[in-house]
Amino acid sequence: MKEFLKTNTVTYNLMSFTAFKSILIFSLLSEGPKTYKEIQKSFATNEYLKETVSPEQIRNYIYTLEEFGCKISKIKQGSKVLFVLDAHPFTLNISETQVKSIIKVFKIISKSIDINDLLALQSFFSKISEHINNEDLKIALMNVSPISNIDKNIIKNLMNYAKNSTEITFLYNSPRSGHKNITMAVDKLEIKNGKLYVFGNSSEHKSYSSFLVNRIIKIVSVNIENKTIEVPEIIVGYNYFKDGNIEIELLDCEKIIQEDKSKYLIEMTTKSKFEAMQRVLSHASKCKVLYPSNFKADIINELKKIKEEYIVKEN
Amino acid sequence: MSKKTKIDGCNKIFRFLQLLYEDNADYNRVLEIFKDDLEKENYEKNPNGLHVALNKYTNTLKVFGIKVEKHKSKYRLKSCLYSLDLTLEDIKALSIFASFVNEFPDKDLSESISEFLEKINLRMNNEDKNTYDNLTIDKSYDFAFKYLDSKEQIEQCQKLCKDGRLTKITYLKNYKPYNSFFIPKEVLFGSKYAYLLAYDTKKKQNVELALPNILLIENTPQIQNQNTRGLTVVYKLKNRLAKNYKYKEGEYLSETLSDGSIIVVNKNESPENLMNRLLRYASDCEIMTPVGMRYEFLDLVNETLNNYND
Repeated sequence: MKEFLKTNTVTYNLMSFTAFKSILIFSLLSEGPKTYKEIQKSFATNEYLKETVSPEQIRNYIYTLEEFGCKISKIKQGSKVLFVLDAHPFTLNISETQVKSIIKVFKIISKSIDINDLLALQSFFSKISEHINNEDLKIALMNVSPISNIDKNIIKNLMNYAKNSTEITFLYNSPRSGHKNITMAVDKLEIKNGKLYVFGNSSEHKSYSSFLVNRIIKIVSVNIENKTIEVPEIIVGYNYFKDGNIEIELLDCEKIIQEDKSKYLIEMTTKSKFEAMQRVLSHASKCKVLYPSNFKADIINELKKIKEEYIVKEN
Repeated sequence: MSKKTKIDGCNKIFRFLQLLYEDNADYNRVLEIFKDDLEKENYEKNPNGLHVALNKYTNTLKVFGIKVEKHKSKYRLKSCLYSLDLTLEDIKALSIFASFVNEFPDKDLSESISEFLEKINLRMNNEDKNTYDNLTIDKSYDFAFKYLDSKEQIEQCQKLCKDGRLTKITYLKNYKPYNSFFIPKEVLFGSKYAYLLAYDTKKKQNVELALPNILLIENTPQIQNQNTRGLTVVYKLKNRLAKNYKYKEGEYLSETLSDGSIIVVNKNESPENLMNRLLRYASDCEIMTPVGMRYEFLDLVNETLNNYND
């Protein structure tokens, strides 16, 4: 080898030329389909070989590669015969245990990473899923991301608009009223309950609202200059009663104002009343809203409405 | 047509490459492939014959541009014959997964992901490898830190899940210790805490116990069937929620009603978690069965309303 490194010439004592030719044929076929002539040309021009190879010898190499586990098909293109490498033993083979682990990890980390990174993960595993044999696991991996089946370009555009709170108009497929244009000053994108929402001040509800991104058909226009919608923030204060050694998991819009042995006083600053209602209700009896009074009254009314529905049906 | 002949050198080099790709190229295994060369070439007369035969093949790989290194009697592939076509985004995704493996307390999961990453690594070209190494240094998520306080408990609970023994667990619920016999099933990782998913034999339902709230774990010798099913809950969703609802794991659509409402069947979710989740849907949701859970849900609504009796 030292000799080769010095002189860049190879002798039969130094390496196995048969092995070299085998790798060359494999390598050529992995680049794409090849004819006899193309393989022969490659042998003739290779700096270490510079030799002719007969079709019969090529067939023997291909036969040996097939015996080894390569799947090579022959296709006719006019008068030419092309060798196609359909599969080989070096392709990535992901075990079922590994796929299950990937799905599990994907679920854990998708809660903590930003949407850009989630897009990268989704695209990578979509590519990798080609190497999974079990169809059920393949589908499970393809669908594990909360942003699967959403147009990647729409997501990327919305993320850009959110940076400058740009006002846009998009065509939305509303579950209630069908297709309609919605104008919104985009604030943020967030995953809630496994679904991607775009948040912002919207013309539709004249308030801070959220819309499912998978229902956005297209972005119709971008209104760079105009800001027609302004929605005030609301600050909700609530007590959260502690549960053993578990600390409350705060949202980005929440902060702890006060803490004693049994409870926290938490303030949530948001433009979305709906979001605040859902958050408070999900805490159930661990939570008591303190202010603002109209929000507190709305929560009590909602709870009474739920109660009435159950009681009426029992009677 | 002439008879096809198997080419010995071709077969040998590819068997060697396969061992390398499987990260299984121990010196002795590799020698097995080439041992008949020794006889053919009369190398046994030469004390270094074995090395000479093997070197011819490793040199072939080197001349072709495939790097192979020998470390502690094992050959490893350092650059490959076949590589995956990866984009920068793909490499970024890999580096996020690699950060996860770093000290994550679930050993089985970490090992399985490490093996997967190693397989990808063996199929990366040099340029991608360099990018990957630099990205790993530039950006890393530390997913493990949030579970570090519970590391020992996680290991203990994972062992319980593997053993499948009936286990007495004492845990804190609303500041009061509560105990029951459980069949441990799985350790789950939430966004802040790790949880033990276990079947509560007293309540006959699955529960998720936050590890920091577990006070005492006592094993029994009794092995239990871990496939014990939790509670099946059927609930109805109305209005916009029905049209947009994304089914959770263990859930499926049972029926769509004429007004667009849907009937959902939920299996195995911890009733406590489920009730809190359904309460968030407010009057757009109604539990249908089991009847006992309707009453429990009503109790929860009343309890919440009681907070405002001042």
